[in-house]
Amino acid sequence: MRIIFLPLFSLPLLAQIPKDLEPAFFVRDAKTVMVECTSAARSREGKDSRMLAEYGRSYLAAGDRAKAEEVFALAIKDDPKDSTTRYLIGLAWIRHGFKAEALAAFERIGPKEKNDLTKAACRLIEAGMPTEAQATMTKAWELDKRDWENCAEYAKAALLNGQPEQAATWFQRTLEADPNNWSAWNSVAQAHAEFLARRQAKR
Amino acid sequence: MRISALVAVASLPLLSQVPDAAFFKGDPKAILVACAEKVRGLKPKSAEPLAFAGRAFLAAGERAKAEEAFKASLALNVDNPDSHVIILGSWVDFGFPKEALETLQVARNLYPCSEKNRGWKNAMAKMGAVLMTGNQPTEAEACMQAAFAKGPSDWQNMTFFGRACLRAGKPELAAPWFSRAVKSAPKDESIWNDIALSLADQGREN
Repeated sequence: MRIIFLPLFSLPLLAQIPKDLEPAFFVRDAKTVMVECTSAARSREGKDSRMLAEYGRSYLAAGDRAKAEEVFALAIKDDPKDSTTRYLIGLAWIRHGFKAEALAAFERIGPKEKNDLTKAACRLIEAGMPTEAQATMTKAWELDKRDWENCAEYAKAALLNGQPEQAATWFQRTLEADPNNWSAWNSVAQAHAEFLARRQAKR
Repeated sequence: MRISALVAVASLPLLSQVPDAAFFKGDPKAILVACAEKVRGLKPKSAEPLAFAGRAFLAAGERAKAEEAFKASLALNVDNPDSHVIILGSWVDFGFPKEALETLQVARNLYPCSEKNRGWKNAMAKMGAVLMTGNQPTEAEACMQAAFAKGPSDWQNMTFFGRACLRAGKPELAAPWFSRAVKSAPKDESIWNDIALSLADQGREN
């Protein structure tokens, strides 16, 4: 992952760190605060592709698609091979309802990146795309069937997002991966505890 | 223990074997109890696993078993801050505010003496976050103040708590903590980015 250094002409951006750091700065309109915080972050020298991808998420949340795409392009240009950057771009898109764009970004995650593939699968199932999610998770699983943590993460996402059949399969795979590991069993328990806590909270 | 849970436990084969997928389509409470028993069986003398087992029992409605596990956890290591976070969170999440405050008091009594255990500072911030999302903002704020007193430059705790305030629908309570975070290192891009993302996510947990 390489670092981008801002050219000298961008130095005026340093002025974008707000002078007033009091609480009142943060109780204004959330979108305004978000954009100003992102500008303050960008004004520092030494960017990396992942940070740029995260700026894009804030811009999308503020409704500025053009700015988001600008920083996504910068991120990819900086490090076209970094899978986590691709995941973060997909995360930004999917959190704000742009499913096609998210899928395109997730499809660019490296074929051997099991952790980023797992995270992408979780985001897809959260967004109501269970078929694409299952396909993505299967790719991750086939890279390392002993990785119970990834199986558990996806199983939990499936359970909490109305996919009990998928959840059941992946909970089984979680425990098959490491049947004598207390953490694996605990992950299954805590996923169900959260499921019940959320159900209780809705009442 | 309820009949369904008994059946679930009885139906589990040997410790090293895993039930098939059909088991996980059953009653969530039965699954919880069965898994909690496994955790307790695999780690009977470790504080955190026991605290987690207690949480699972409480989620399943097995209060007596939960209290037994919590007590066993603290008996093994009362100075494990993470155990206290798990126990507090369990009481809060499953609707036991009185028990939550009792747990908090135990933690508060231990906290001033925990100079050598850095984990306590972070645990206090986590407890604050749990209480904030559990609709106990006064107690939450007190926890975070305690964490801040021991870690005034620990901005991650501040933004973590601020995020919890947003999640609880209280941005006005997040604001002072975001302010303290950026004041601790105004030129650190990570802090500004963290706050921007907290707002973008509307406080959603990472």
